[in-house]
Amino acid sequence: MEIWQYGFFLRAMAAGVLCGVTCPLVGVFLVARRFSFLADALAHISLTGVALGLILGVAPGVTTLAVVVAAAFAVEWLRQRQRFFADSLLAVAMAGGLALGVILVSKSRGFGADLTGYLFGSLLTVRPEDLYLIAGLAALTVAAVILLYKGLFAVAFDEEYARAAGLSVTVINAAFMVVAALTVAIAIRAVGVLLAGALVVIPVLVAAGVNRSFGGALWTAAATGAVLVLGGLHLSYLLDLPTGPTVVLLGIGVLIGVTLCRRIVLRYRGKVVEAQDFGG
Amino acid sequence: MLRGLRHCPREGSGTAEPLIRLEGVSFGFGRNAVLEEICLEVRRGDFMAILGPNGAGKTTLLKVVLGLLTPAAGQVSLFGVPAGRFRERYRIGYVPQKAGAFGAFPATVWEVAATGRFARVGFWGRLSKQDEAAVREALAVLGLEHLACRPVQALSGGQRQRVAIARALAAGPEVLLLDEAAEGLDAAGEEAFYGLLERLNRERDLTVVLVTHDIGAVSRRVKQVVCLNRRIIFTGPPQECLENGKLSALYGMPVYVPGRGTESRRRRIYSRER
Ligand SMILES: Nc1ncnc2c1ncn2[C@@H]1O[C@H](COP(=O)(O)OP(=O)(O)OP(=O)(O)O)[C@@H](O)[C@H]1O
Ligand SMILES: [Mg+2]
Repeated sequence: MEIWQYGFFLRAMAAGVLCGVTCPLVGVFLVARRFSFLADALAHISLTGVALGLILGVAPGVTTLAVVVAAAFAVEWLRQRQRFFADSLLAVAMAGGLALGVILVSKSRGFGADLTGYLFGSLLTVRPEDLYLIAGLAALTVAAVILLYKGLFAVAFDEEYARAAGLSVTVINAAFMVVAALTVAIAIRAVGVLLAGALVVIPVLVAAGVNRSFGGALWTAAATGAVLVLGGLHLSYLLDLPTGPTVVLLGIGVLIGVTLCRRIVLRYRGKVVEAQDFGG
Repeated sequence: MLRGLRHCPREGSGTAEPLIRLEGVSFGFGRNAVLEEICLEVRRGDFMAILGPNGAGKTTLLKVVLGLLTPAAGQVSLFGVPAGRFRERYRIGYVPQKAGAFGAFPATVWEVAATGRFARVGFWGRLSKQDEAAVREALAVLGLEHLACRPVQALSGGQRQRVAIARALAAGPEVLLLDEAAEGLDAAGEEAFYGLLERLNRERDLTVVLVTHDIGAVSRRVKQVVCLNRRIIFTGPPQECLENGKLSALYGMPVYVPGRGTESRRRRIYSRER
């Protein structure tokens, strides 16, 4: 394709694949824990980080990472104590982060022209140095997921049993929260704050629909994520649509398609379709 | 201060090595005291049933032993080591109450049973051939080999319960703590399950502690019975427990345990909640 001659598009593809792979890798564990709304909540809380960067005159990337990681720890700490229902806890955290962010932004000299990019993603404007940062974060995430896979699986599947078996659940959870925060930071770059949660969750649901095993679901989700981002990128170029929303709508289309196909296949084989409930 | 250190009468059997030892253990959720001054010793080779009405603190007791809950007073030692310093958790297998309630995310029977092995390998190590053999054997023991590649979500409640038991056995524990583990097994499955526990206890010297409401089913098999209702009300052999109205005292109502007949043996004993 003609567009492949342009450096910005190649960088967009590279960054897109990296995001597409990492987000669902983390998303699998979030969905299995019924905590998938965490990605959305952290993404919205990141506004506070951006605003802090603007006010303090620090690179917003740095403050965003710091705020998101801190928020992830806070949420995990509260979840452990079971003071609140996990999902309402996330709703509160998200509203609080967003509110604080908006107030801080109103006190700063304004958000500038980059607001749309921040909200909906800006893959096409990825600079080489951004790409290195994304690649670094992605490598860290993938390494963490591979190294911690057994612990993450055990905890996601049955946290109390993992604790009883003597796995260091607290350490695993803390490491996972850092990884999740890094991933959200990457996702914001790719599809923006409003759609980050979608990139974390949609490929996972697609994978969960076509897999019997957790390991299988993990790799399918990563592959699906990469394909979705690449597909969305090209579609948005061909049809002249905004990239982030195109990726998300393509993902939802694929999810619906896979779900329908699965029903048809199961019915054809005469198996009972069991109601599956992937609550947030 | 010294309350937890007071002398505990030695219970349980003979002189075998004590694997679990609770001395003056108390625990409460907030102000609600759930366990008070529990003294209990489980020795190697024991086959012990814990009985008690709903809300008596049976699950809480197991969780205290497993280190999931920290006692407010008293001491827990495991394999002769204070629980806080005990690291070899794989030596204690655990089948939680309602263990079969796995989440909806896909995972195969094999994957779930293999998590029982993680405590041994840690999460850096890979499962070796030996580990895989142990998982396979645990699945075979519970008659699940042919389901190994099925997602647990596609199993029946009783089959899932078996997966939870296989997971505990896969670790190759020396003590097995079971919280109403036979719940949801069919009559044949339950018979086979208790038979299996008896065999493991006899042949492999596996120490078994099980919580149950099915007094009739276990009274023929277990060696010790502990009656718990916040405090330990009775410890001793099952025959003694069935006599003398001990159970009626425990449940606060007349309790009739059918003899060793086959028909009525499975009748369960219910009581009002505390
Ligand atoms: N998470 C909790 N928070 C507060 N109280 C609790 C909690 N879990 C249990 N309890 C209380 O502790 C007491 C003992 O509970 P536990 O689960 O140990 O009972 P049990 O003997 O296992 O009963 P069952 O036969 O119903 O399983 C109950 O009175 C219960 O109300
Ligand atoms: Mg219980």
